[in-house]
Amino acid sequence: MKILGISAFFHDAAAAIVVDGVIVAAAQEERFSRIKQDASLPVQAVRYCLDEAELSMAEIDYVVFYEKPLRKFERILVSQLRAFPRGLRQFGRAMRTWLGSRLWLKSDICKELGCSSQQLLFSEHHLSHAASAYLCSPFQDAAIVTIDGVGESATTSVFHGFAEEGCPKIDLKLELPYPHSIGLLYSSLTAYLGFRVNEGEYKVMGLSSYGQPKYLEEFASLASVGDDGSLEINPRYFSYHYHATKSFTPALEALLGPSRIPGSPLEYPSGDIDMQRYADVAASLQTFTEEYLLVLMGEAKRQTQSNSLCLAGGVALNSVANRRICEEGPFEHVFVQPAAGDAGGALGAALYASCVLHNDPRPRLSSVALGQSFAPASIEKFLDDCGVKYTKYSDDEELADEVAQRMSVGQVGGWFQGRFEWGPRALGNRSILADPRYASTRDRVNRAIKFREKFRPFAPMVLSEDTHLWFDLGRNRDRLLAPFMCSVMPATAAAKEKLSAVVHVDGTARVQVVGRSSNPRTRRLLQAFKKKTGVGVLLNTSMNLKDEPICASPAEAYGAFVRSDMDFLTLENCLIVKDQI
Amino acid sequence: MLADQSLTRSLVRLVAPIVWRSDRKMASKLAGFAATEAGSALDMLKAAELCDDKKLRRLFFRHAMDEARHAKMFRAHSRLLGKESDLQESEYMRSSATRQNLYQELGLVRFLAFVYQAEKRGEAHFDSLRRHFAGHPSLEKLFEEIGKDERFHVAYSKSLLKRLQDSGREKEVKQAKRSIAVQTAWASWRRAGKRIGNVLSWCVLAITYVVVVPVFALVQRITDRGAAHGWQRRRLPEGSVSEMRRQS
Ligand SMILES: [Fe+2]
Ligand SMILES: [Fe+2]
Ligand SMILES: [Fe+2]
Repeated sequence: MKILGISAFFHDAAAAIVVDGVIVAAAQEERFSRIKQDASLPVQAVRYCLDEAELSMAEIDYVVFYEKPLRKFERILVSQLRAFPRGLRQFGRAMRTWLGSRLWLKSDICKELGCSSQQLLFSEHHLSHAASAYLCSPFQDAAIVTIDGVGESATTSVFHGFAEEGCPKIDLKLELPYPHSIGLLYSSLTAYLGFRVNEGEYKVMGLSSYGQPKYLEEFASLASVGDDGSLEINPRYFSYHYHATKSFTPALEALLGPSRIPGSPLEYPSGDIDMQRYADVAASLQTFTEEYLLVLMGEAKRQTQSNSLCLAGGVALNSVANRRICEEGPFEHVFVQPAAGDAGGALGAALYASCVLHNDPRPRLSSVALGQSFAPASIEKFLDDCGVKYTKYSDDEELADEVAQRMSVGQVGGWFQGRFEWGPRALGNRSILADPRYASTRDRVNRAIKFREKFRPFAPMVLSEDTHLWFDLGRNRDRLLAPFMCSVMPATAAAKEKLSAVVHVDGTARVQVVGRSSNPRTRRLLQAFKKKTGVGVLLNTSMNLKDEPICASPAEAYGAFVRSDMDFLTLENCLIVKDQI
Repeated sequence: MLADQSLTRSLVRLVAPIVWRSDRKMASKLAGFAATEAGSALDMLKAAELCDDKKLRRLFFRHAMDEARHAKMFRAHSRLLGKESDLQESEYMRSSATRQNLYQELGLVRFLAFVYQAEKRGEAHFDSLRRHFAGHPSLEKLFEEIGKDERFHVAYSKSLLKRLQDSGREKEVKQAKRSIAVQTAWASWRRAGKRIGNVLSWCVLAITYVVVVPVFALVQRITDRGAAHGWQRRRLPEGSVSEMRRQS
């Protein structure tokens, strides 16, 4: 079967195409539109997916939307009625969105994408998340836990994935209804801490390491956790179910102190009482979330009796919590969909129709290089036409040597190779790389290249055979997560001493393990860097400037290069050096 | 077009003393300019990527590099003038560069017409600001320097349009110029219309909220067994094509 999956209209729209059980392409719309977390119908991503599969829309068997829109509308209506008379603004906003466009979604999708209504199917939000993790995991039998802000009406679900007569099945065991949501609690506190919801959650996670979980008692009154892994939000502190713009009430500020003004300075270590309080709140939030997730995993184990766990939904992007789930949770094996947020729903919707509905073979997600690539010849032509000076390397070894040499003397540069990554993380295809040994490099990348907050950590990529030298593998249950940077690992004493640019203040790092079968050019670069410095590790951050989506095309990469202090840029086998252009 | 330019000039003269009244305001305005310039850099780069005529490509690319440099210059001056905390706030509000995908949307001729008209407006704007800041230790020079590039952008887009015109595409070029001018004016009207529409729809919805919703809310309250909490058990519908056709 040829199935196209799409997600849209909340945040992070995406498209994915699965042909006879093979994931041919998957990409977020933001990479094409250059609008961060673009939620609009992924017209350009769909066009790309069809091109990559060399198919026309008429040849597609089904187009699967990742959720049931009318069920979502019903939830919104009911919660508006319940909140009456407090929710005028949210009512106005919701009605304008829904009456204006969302209710006519079916015909809009058909018109914009050029498909027929006969081709169009609708999955369920959490089922799409579940399918996105389970169906491309290596497990036959697994508990599947999906956790996000909210889907149609569920906020957290426990499924059981298994095979019946060779066909994969997904059974829903439990679901938690809106507004009881760990995801929305996390987002509300993200807003309280002065960051943008749906993208500031990473910053909260980074910030949490600078504080102590001093507010756990207060958090216990924000939400209660049942022994059965359920969660109940105390509505006194939250307004996301009726307020259009503010997700917490004055009661929360009375409990935790005044909220942080967005953009106000954050410097750590800090003697400032408020700054320390923000870090402590972040630490308490992170700990509360982790503890809750551990209870939830216990329940998932009881419900399914499975040894393996699949995770998806926005909360599964919390790599610190994922580590604790691996180390302390009841499962032997853990897999997380790398595009755990709503973008991943597009892939899940397509996989569900392909593997469960039509019994196509299940794919294995061994790489996230599922986006667009650019032929080296077209890159050279572009550079020649534009008059950009560059050096072309016909030998990969030489290219790796040159780049490694530059990094070993403190240079920072872009590394653009092959297809761009699926999901929010750059894993060596659209990366900015640097020497991990000096904190000063980290500060320079934060200040002059990414233009982002100083307290945010950078992640390392490491040769698989060297991982144990620098990072504590623990019970090694996160080995399936390590290639995708989905969990953190404690640094060893050697790493703490030698890799100060990539070890976070709490002594951990969000590691990407580069195995023998993955991205050969990036692996060669790590080896070359090791030959020069004795360290098979690099600092890796996504190739984008602050608040912009990750670059997709060579021209965009060049744009980021000239607008920042990057010293060099590699476009496939072409090397451009800043002081020579 | 001339009227357009002199309108820009008099408008700038009128509002500049208010808009640029303090270092803080200046810093914030310059940060905004930096974002706009970075956005045009991205659009010009996309144009360079998509067009395959070597000469055009090189011109678009150079234009992109100019705009990227302007973005850097504006950002640097904004940092010099602003206090760190104010700046973080303003950069937070509008630091990201947005591409409008103009080349794809407009096609070559209309894109050129757009660039020409926008650059002309930009040039007039920066020239007025240069005059406004005559004697200012850094900003006069900044606007003067950027103005030079803007003049080049106007000149090259004008000559490209002229060349197209001379190659027998006169009608097309004229039409493009007209349609872009109309489109710009229409866009401002539409923005105004949208604002009025927004206000109107808000009024209708507010009245609905006060008059109609209470009845439903009351019925809901009477029949409601309270919002669900705790784990819910539900059987997933049988996975079938007919079930999946449903939106609910
Ligand atoms: Fe979701
Ligand atoms: Fe400019
Ligand atoms: Fe310009």
